[in-house]
Amino acid sequence: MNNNNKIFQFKLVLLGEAAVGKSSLVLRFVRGHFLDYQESTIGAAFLAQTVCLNDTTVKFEIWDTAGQERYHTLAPMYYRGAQAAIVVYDIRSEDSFERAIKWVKELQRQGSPNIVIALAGNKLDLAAKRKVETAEAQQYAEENGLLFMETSAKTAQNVNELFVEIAKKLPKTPTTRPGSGRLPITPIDNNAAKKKTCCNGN
Amino acid sequence: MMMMEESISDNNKQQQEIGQDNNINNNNNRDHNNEDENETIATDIEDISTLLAKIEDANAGSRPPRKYSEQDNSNPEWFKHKKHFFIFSFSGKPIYSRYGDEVALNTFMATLSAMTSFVESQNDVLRSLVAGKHQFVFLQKNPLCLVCICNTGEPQMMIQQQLEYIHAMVISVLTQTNIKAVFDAKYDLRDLLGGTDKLIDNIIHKVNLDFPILLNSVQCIRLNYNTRNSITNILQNRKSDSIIFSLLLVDNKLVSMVKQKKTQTLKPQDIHIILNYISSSTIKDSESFMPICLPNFNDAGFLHLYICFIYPQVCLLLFSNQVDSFYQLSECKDLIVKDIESENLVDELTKSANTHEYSTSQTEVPNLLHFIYKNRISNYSTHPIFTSPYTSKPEKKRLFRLYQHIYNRANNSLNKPHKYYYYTSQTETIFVLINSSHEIYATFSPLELKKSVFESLNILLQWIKENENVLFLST
Repeated sequence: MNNNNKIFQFKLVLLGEAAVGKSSLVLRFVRGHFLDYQESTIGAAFLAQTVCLNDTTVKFEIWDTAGQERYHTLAPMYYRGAQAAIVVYDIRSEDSFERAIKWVKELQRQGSPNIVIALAGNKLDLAAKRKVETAEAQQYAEENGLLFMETSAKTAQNVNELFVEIAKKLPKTPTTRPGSGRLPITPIDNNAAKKKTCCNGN
Repeated sequence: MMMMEESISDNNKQQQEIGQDNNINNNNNRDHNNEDENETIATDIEDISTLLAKIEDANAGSRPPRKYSEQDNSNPEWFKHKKHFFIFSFSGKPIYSRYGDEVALNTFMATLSAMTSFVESQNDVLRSLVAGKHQFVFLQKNPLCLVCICNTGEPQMMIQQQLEYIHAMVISVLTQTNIKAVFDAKYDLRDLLGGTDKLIDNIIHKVNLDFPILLNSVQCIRLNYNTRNSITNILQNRKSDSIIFSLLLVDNKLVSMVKQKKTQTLKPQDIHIILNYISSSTIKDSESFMPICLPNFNDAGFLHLYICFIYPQVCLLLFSNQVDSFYQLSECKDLIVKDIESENLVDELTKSANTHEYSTSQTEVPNLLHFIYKNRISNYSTHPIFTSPYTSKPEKKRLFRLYQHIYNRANNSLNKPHKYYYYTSQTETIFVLINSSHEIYATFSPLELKKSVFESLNILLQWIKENENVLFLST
């Protein structure tokens, strides 16, 4: 099932703060539906979906990760070897945008060298409560060579488009199975848990 | 006789009762706090509503608003809930409240925390206290304190057990070692427990109605022996280096459980923690991979759990000790599915989700209204569905609570449990038989003669024995 039939397989990971809509974007893209109340993802969920371009088919193996801080130490396992990443924030939350920037930096530092990163400002249907300006995010994306789109998993606006853009941008060279070349990673340990906690107690 | 389910009509009275407890503890500050609260209710409500608006804002479109999240202890409605659960840290920081927002209940939990500290300063441990119709049950598990305040009249031992389950649920998210470390570093545990309210809400819901949990046991799905056997063989054959346990569930009940490595077997409490994760998650159409700590297996580290609904209601669980084993486990799943399909077991499995329940009439035991049975060696249990007269919700609840009391009395003797226990009230007769291999609680009508109860119980035991390999996994 490799490049003979012009089917390319890519590993894609979604990262971003909790409750920005990562799972909703994936469910909209893969299953075409939307739940008003999507439960928190625990750990990570794995789904696959194909995108047809003009002459090629791109199969995404998607890792939808949990946004909670306690899972942060597991993230490298999911973005390691990923050819694409979607970093999601909620356009109503500056914090989530800040967090997205941190994810982008982490990916640029530790992700695959040629990883395609897309920045997605989700919950566009709630634009009335917008806190992050399109221009600001657009500018950041351009400066860092990211794909950028504002999306709504609820209305499906720009969801497929986002994945198609990523598919177009991915290099169509023979690929190995996603996830190969992963390195073992240590599970969450005390030090990690300590490091990743912020002390913003009230 | 022991049901005191009426909700408190007079809130002032209850306030007073809580005030009295404070007096017992002789803590003047707290009395002062209570007065303050009464005076400043109006401002509190304002503050809280803006706070809640913020929370709602942040969560809109992502999570259902939690029921009663707008309530706190300045709201009389809040006191009407029959059973409250709280979790806070040893330093008094709120972590969880079943009803209301834990931040708004800061002062209330601080009060509870002060109670435990006071008793601790006397070199003692506060386990429970009674205030009028309410009992306060405490479980202290460094660095967490869990408290239940209820007027349900349940035995203290049963509430203690429920608190243990809730504690295990929290541990499963972070491990005991991490919780200690985070607490020692003076960080806020809530940051790391984000998104787990739902899990705790669900386990609380379950401990209040689940017979297997009541008996500290696991329910297996009722399934044809050969089918179950084939499944077990498939799970046994399809193992990879890292797999420790393989489980197959139908309708969130155990079909088969295989231990792939030389290690301890899973304890019922750990299995209920796992079941609670599965029933709380909505993603049934993807493969999931998550770290989970099983407190009775190892409370210091995580196992990595692969979850996949291979058919509707049919869920495969693979526990691995390697964090990067997902693809390995996913391949293993493919092989298991292939085997299940080649042995034509799919129909039988999916069908059992709808047919596994049974009623007392199927046992053909005369006059039997209900029963719960546990095999004390395997820790598997079985019970029929509720049938008349236990069809309404209050009646079901009443029978559950009655079993709690009977269980408590039959098992609470200091040495060994009672061998026999016979209970009659205006509404039912319950006969209990406990020996080294099993325990059974059988419910009959109150008019039943002792002799016929004995006879019926023997028939029931005979029926269970005959159906053993359909009702339970072989051990």
